[in-house]
Parts: sequence; C-alpha cells; structure tokens
Amino acid sequence: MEEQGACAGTAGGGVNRPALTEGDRVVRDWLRGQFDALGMRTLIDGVGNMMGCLEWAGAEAPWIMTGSHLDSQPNAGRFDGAYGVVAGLTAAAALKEAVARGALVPKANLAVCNWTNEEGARFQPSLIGSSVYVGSMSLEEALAVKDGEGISVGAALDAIGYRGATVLPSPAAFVEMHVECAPELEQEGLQMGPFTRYWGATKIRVRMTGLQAHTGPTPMERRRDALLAAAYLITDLKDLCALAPDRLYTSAGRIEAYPNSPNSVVSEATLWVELRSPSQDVLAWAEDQFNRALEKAAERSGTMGKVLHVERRRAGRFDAQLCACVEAAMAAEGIAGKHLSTIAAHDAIRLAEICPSIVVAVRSIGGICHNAVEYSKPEDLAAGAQVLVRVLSGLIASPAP
Amino acid sequence: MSDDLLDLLNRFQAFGATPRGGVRRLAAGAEDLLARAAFAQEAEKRGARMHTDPVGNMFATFAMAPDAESTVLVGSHLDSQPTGGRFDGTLGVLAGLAAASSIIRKGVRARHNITVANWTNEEGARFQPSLTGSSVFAGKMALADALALEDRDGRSLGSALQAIGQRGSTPFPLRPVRNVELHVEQGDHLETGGLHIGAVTSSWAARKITVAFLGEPSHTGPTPMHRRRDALRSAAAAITHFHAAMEKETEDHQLHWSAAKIVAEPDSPNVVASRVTVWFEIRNPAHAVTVGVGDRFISSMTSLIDAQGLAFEIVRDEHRPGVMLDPVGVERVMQAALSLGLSATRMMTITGHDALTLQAIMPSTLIFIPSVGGLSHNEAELTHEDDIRNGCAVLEATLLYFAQEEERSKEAP
Repeated sequence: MEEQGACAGTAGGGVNRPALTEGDRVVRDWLRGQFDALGMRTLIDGVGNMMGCLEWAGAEAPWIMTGSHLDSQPNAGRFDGAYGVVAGLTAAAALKEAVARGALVPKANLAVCNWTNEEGARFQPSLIGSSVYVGSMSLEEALAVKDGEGISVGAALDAIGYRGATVLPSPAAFVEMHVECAPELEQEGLQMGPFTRYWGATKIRVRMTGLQAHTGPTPMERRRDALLAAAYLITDLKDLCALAPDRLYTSAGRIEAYPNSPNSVVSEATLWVELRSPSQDVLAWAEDQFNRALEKAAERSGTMGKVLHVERRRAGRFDAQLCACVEAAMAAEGIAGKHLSTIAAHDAIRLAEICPSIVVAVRSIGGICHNAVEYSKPEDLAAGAQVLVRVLSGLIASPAP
Repeated sequence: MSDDLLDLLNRFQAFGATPRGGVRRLAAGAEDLLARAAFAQEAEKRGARMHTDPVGNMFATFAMAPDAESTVLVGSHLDSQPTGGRFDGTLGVLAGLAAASSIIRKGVRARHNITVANWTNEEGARFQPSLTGSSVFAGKMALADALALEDRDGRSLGSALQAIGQRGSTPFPLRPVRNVELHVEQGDHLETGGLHIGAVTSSWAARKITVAFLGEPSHTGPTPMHRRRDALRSAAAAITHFHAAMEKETEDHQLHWSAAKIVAEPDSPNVVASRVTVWFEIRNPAHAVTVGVGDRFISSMTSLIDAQGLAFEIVRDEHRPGVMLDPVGVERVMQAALSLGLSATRMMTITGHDALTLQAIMPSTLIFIPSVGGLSHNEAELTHEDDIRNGCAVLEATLLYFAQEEERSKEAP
C-alpha cells in the first residue's frame, strides 16, 4: 500500500492519479513490476485494462478474478481502488505459495485486474474499462471519449504507452476488495462486510443556453443568463432530496461555463448531475422531477435547457452464493460483519453483468472518501486480504460449473 | 479616410475570426500577435514609428511636430473576449490610425505629435483585472504586478508577452498631453434616441466582488446528504440570492449586475465541490450606491451561507468609483458633431475603458457611436458603416483640434 501510495503521491498523504495521466502511468509501471516479481503474465487490452495472470490449470480452465482500479480522483485518497489491487497482489502471492507447497490444487486460473478509468474524474462516464470488458460499451466508443481538454481516451492511452491489443480471458467469478467509503461499519464497530446490494444511479449532463452579452451596459431585461439558470437548477436539485430522505441522494459536482469571463454574461452552462437511489421507482420519479426543475429554471431565466446525455445504472444485487463464500471466510477468520449496500459504483457492478460478482467492504474511518485524508487501518486492510485469500482459495480449488 | 478605416476593419476581422462573424483574440495570445503585427505594419506603411513598452502597450507615433516631445494619444485595444465582437476596441485603434494618417496627408501644422495606442489586455478575459496596459501606463498598477498576473493555466502575462515578442524594454519616450478614444457604445442609449454621437462625461461606478465558497471534498455517492459540505450548492444559492436581492434593490436604485464567472474545484462529477469561486459585479452611476448595495449583499449572503453551516471568503473586493472625464473634451466632441451636422448627446458610460483609466494622468476624451441592439461581447455585435464614418469624422476633427491646441496644463498653476 505504501509503495503504490508513493506513485503520484501528494503532500497531504493522498494520490493524484486521474486516469491515463502521467501519475497513472507511474502506478501502472509499478503494477507491471509487481506482476513480474510474482511470475504473473501481464495482459493489456485495447482500453488499457491490465491483468496479471497465473495460468495454473491451463487455457481451458475457468478464470477466477480479483482486483479493482489504480486511477484516482484529483488529489484524492490512496485507498479507494488501490486497496483492491494490492489485496489481489497479496492474495496472489499467498495462493502461489500454497500451490507450490501442494496445499492448494488449482482447478482454475487466477487474474488480478486493474480496470481503466473507474473514477470517471478525467473521462466521463466512469467504469469505462470494466464496461468495455463486459461488452456494455464498445471499444470504439470508449476510445473516442474526450476529457475537458479534448484529449481522447485513445490518444491518452497511446501517450502513456498502455494501449494493448490482447483479448483478455473471461471470468468465472469476480471478487473485489474495497474500502467502504461510508461510515456504517465504523459506527457499528465492525471490520468488514459484503456489499449485497448496489444503489442505482442516473447521471445527467445538461446544458443551459442563454445569450452572451456585456455584463455592463446590456439592459437587464435583455439578459439571458445561463449561469443563473444553472444556479436555479442546482438549488432545486438540493431541495429534491429532502422529499425522499435517505432514499435519494443528489449532486452536481462539475460545471462548465462559457465564455467564463467576468465581463460577459454566461451563454452556456453545462452541469454534471447525479441522482442515486436504492429504488428504481425513486430514480424514475427523481428524473421526472429533475426535468420539471430544468423547465422551470429555463423559464425563470429566459434560457433554454437541454439534456445532453443520460446514463442510467440500475439498482441491483450481487451474487448470493459469493456472498455466502465471503461470510464463511469471515467466520473462519473470526470476523463479525454485516450486509451492506453500496451507493458508489464499483467495477464489480459491471462484472456482475457477465459472471457472479461481489465487493467486500473494509471499514473506512469517518466514512471519508474522494479526499486526501481518506483512511483505513492497516489491521483492517490485512484482515480483508486474509478473507480474500480464503474466498479465492475456495473458488480456485472448486470453481462453480 | 473612412474607406481606409472600413478596409482596415475588414482586414483585422480575419485575425482570430470565429465562425459567426466575431473574433477571438485573447490578450498576448497567437491571434493577438497577428493583430499586433498587422497594426505595426499598417502604421509603418502610413509613416508612423513604432514603440512597445514593457507591458506590451504599442504606440505608433506620427511626427506631426518633430521638434516637440509632446504627443496626443488616440487609440483603444485589439484584444477581445473569447468570442467577442469585431468592433469592440479594434474600432478605436484602427479609427485612430485612419484619422492620424488622414491628418498627416492634409499636411497641416501641429503643436504636438499624434500617437495611436493599442493598450494591452483591456478586456480582462484572459488575465484579471482588465485594463492592465492603460493602468500600468497611468501609474495605477505596478509593472511587476501586471507582469505577474496569471491566466487560468498559470501562464503569466510577462511570459505570454515574451513568447509573442511583445514585451518592450523601455517606457514610451514622449510626453502625452491628451488622450482621445472612439468606441462602440455597447448599450442601446444612442440607438433608441436616434442619435449619432455620444460625448461621454463620466462613468458608472462598479464594485467587483470575488467570493470563494468553501466546502469539503467527498464522494457524491455514499456520503450521507447531511454530511456533505457542498461548495457548489452554496455558490448556486448565493447566485440566485444575489439576483433576487439586486432585483429588489432596483426599487430604489438604477442597477446593472452580474455573476458571470465560476470556477469549481476539483470539478469532477463524482466529487462534492470543495471550493467554488464566483465573480460578482454591481454597477450604478454613484459610487456610494455600489458600496451600500455591495455591503448589503455581503451581509445577507453571510446569513445565507451561515445558515447552511458553510463558509466563504472574499478573495477580492474591488471598488471602481466612477471617473469624470475632462469637460473640455466633452464640449469639443459636441462641437465637432454639430459642425459635421450630426446629432450628439452627453452621456455616461457603464463599462470601463482605457480612456477612463488614462484620465488619472491627462485630460481624456471618450466618443461613442451606436451599437445595434446594444449587443456587445457577442459575435453578432454590429455597428453600421454610416455610424463608423460619422465616428471617425468626429474623432479626426477632435484629434486635429487637440494636436494644434496649446497646452492648457502649462498655463495652470
């Protein structure tokens, strides 16, 4: 954990590794070195997903996979994502040793994964790597996605030398370790627990269009201010979640204003809005309310509102059998835990579309995430890795048909 | 003369041309350099001598009075908003060039030289504050402070000027006795009144308040709503509050206001914003009113943000009292218009101009011509050819008068 934290580490103890930046390249090089040291073969696909492979049981045998992502939010914590990859490396070392001394007879192969652009900080949408891997997004579409400066995923991959051409093996099961990013385990004095459900999310990119004009002499009644329209919308969005407390989370985290000069009325304001809920019904209701708020904001400011893009990720459940495996492993380690729901997205949600999949959460301190002070205790991280070894060991010894 | 100006305007429209007829010439950028180089070329072709000062202000001097070290300044700015109009600023520089060369061709005698100026970063679109070049020239801003201003990518004005070879080494050597600027009105006062010429008497006051709303970065997913400290929400609440509060203030005051720039950090869709900076502006004819209205806004915003359990800090609070321009110049413009058979009015300007800044060190004059629909800082900004001809004629008459006039400042005690 310390080694990866030093890759594009920040003064505040965090990391700054938005996807496919120089910082991401540094940590990817580090990961490749770890794969080499463990005798794992490194595979890289067309969207830069990395896999370290131990092919014990032959090419036709099922693949058990683990891992997460090494990219980060700008100046964010060093645990989010990275813990899942590091736990995978630790487990791979332990399992390799078990195979070597005959304690584990592998009927399946093992891969440790690093999925590209999970965070969606630099490139939207998030989960690009795992989406391409499971086929819910085409490779062409993914490579064409551009960041705020117009640089495409394809060009950024080429720039850091991580555009591969390998067709990766298919998974029989995926187990992802992750820090909880919420305060529930800590509040109940528990070390870890499987996520059994995931919240759905509706992500909307919306643009308000007004009229660019001088902020001085232009008569007030002639102004059509897109930033005012965006402010109305953000304010209404906040009021919306009060109507469904604990069942609806809303946010607008990014705004782009044009021309964004203090002397010109904003003619275009683009907002990135998120609606999250455990219930599909609430999500549908919230999207409807959002559209009404958009109309109202446009009307009040004399602007036009247009939804540019909507991504709807359904709420759902992780695999019950894998959940049972995790609970058995925790029990064997003497760890008490509980079932949790994840509100944040994880690569395992994408993987669930093609194989049994689960995320195991390890306690976060203060529930803080996407912040450089994000923290989880070393003993919790180590306990999580122990549980992962047991779960993977079971799956490798007797993979489900 | 005016056909010369129309040709020049057409030529300069190409530098940073945008698809819908506007220009993009951010200060000290590549397009600005194209315009600057063409300005120097056109001025030298007409017999002027060029000088560039350390903040990139350009001076094209026509030796009307070769023995005199005094000169009358005329000009404006060639930089533009990110998608600006083609007349804003550019008209004043090119009209200065056309008027000065027309005067030269007439072979008249003068007491002073004439210098056409292009002032650096008038717009303040790339580097804030605006009016950088004329402020340094007028001694209102230190050269070192100006050169240290940074754009959003962290590039300093000094290094940007260096990069385009527009950072001179010596101050302007002549002694300016007066300044005259022709500009499009950018409002609709002249158009709605059916008037040709505006003789600007003074400017509205402005208060520009830059506020940073402070939050705490967290995940937009799992972080419980009540735990979020969302700076973008504070900013949005403050912006809607600002517009409502100003609307209410208009019951008592004639106000123009705006919140036109916003910068969010870290600006990722799934991180709660931790710091959001917003640029607010309040304008009124009287300085005392902008002060009072601004104070009331800051106080009510404090209650609003406190109630949210959040905080803000004032990054910059700039008071721009209105400027009274030289009254002799106003009367000169009125007379010039009259003698050319044009209708004219004395009026105030709501926007900042280099001429207002320069009034600090010399008598300064600002002439307006109509803007169609009062639209400005927009690619569709337009001023009709007839109005351009009229404006240039008034400028030339005013300029000639002042170039031949004895210096009054010498007679003053």
